[in-house]
Amino acid sequence: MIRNLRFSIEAMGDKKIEMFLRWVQIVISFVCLCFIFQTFYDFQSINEKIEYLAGTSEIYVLRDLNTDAWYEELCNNDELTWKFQKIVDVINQTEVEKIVLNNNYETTKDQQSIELISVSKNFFEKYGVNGNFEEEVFSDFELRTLSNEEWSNEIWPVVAGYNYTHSYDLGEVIQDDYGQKYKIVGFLSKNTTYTLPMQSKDLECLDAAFIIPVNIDKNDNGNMIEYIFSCQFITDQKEALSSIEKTNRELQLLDMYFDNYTNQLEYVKNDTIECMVLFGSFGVVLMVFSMIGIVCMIIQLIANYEYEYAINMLCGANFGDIYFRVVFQSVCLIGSSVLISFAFFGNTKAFRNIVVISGVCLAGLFIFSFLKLKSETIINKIRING
Amino acid sequence: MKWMKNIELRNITKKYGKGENKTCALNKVNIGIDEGEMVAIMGTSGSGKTTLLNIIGTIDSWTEGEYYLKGKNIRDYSEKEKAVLRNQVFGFVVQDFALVPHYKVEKNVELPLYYTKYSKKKRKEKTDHVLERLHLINKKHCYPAELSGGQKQRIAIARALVNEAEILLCDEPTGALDSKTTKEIMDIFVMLNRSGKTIIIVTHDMEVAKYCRRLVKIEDGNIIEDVYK
Ligand SMILES: Nc1ncnc2c1ncn2[C@@H]1O[C@H](COP(=O)(O)OP(=O)(O)OP(=O)(O)O)[C@@H](O)[C@H]1O
Ligand SMILES: [Mg+2]
Repeated sequence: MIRNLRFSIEAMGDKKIEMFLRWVQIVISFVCLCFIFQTFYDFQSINEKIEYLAGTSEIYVLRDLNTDAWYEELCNNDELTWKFQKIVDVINQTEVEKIVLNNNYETTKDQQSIELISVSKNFFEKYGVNGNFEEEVFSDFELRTLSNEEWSNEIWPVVAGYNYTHSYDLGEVIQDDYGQKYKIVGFLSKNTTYTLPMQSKDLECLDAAFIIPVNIDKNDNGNMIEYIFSCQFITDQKEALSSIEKTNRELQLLDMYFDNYTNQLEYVKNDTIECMVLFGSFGVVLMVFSMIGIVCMIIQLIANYEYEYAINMLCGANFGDIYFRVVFQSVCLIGSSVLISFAFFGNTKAFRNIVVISGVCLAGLFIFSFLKLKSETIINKIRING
Repeated sequence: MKWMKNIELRNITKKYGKGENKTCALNKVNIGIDEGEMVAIMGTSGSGKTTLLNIIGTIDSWTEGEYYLKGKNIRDYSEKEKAVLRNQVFGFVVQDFALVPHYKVEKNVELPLYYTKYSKKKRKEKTDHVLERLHLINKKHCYPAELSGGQKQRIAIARALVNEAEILLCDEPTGALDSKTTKEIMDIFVMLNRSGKTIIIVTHDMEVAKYCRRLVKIEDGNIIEDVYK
């Protein structure tokens, strides 16, 4: 056994370049395949999330038509603050259920980009975002209207992305660059993703995100504007939202209108399905081809060395020795390629497909080489090649 | 079983193919070969010489009859045990040398030792020793393609000897060589025979047969002559 192992490794060393090239071939096809599958599953996951989100009733969002100059004006004009407060109050008083989702990218002092997402507590349930925490931890903070100072005196609960599980403990209080304190109340599961309302074709990964309860600073126009456009209203009666539009019109504040987000989701969904079909069929074709390629390649490898194997048998190798060598070499080639794919993609569904594919390839090879090596007598092999 | 020869074939029949295409390569062959003999097997092309040699070397099967090696019936041997025989008892030398082109001379010769329990050091020692004996030590790091026919055949002989095989099975070992090189190779065989090895040589060449004390002639799968000189 150990003798065979040593000899197999040595035999691979004898044909380093050939082995290496073949290995590269397998690695490339696995990685491509993994990538295609990954893309397919991403689209599938987007599709599922959209279906889930759009499942119950219509979703409306406020579309914004304001110019940047107008925003400048709005944000800096303290006279308008009461108007924004009014709209925020109307929004909060409507009977309609709403999800708040406002994501910001912040750069820390050491130039790290972190995603800070402010949400209402129903975000987790509606967007299917899971982890080891209770949504209730956000209840106390939900839609509180705190001024800047009040905000900074509080310790805010934060749900951290999976990447932080090793850097922070549950319950630990952390501080951001501005001295704001947060208490870690839970972590998200690995590979948690969601789709952004306005660009739903992308899957946003939350592994590096921090999720905090949404707060409205009633003295900060900019903050209130952000809040207004972060709301998603879940209702089948658009009329229920008319009070918001009406108030805005009366106050002559923002240029905005309600848009049916569900429709947009439908478009995105159809797009996504198209992509799924495209990538799915492409993936299957590629899979078939690369499987054929890999198997043929190793069959050729065996055929090429049949003469060598026959001479080995003439010198005292038995069938098991030779079979071991063939199996060992195929396992090495394919196994290490699988490991490389793992390094790139981790333990994802796409990777598990690769494992299955390589398993099938290997099984095929084991059977083929067994039959092939058994079928010919030593003497025939030497005659054919010699 | 004292009366038995070292190699004893009894009514060995070998048939190839099925039905109409059936050819009888060996027909009830009886032959016994003692330890230390040097036998030449001659016959026309297709008469069954190679088949006979391959059966003796356990690399081919036979249809009927019994084959005893040192009194043991080879029919009872498993694949594994036959591999051990090829490793320890038989050494093969063939017309086209059967060297692995991408192994260096050294490794080609060492090959049978890979299937033994010898340590790496011991393997190298034995390889060097046999290469020296055949005056090939300076070609150790060459590839077979860089050698002449005679040298290649000496490499093949070195390989057959490296694990101290008792019986050398040579299928037209000089078939690809000129007369001068043939003499060189035959001198080696004679020397080996003197040191106690059993040598069986299949050949077309009367010159080669002259070196052997015993001559066996085959025709259409039958032994038609078996004489000691
Ligand atoms: N693998 C095989 N399949 C079918 N028939 C075979 C096979 N090997 C040999 N034969 C047949 O068996 C007979 C004997 O063949 P063998 O190779 O033993 O002859 P040979 O005496 O060695 O001839 P040569 O001097 O040409 O080498 C021939 O008729 C040959 O056609
Ligand atoms: Mg022949």
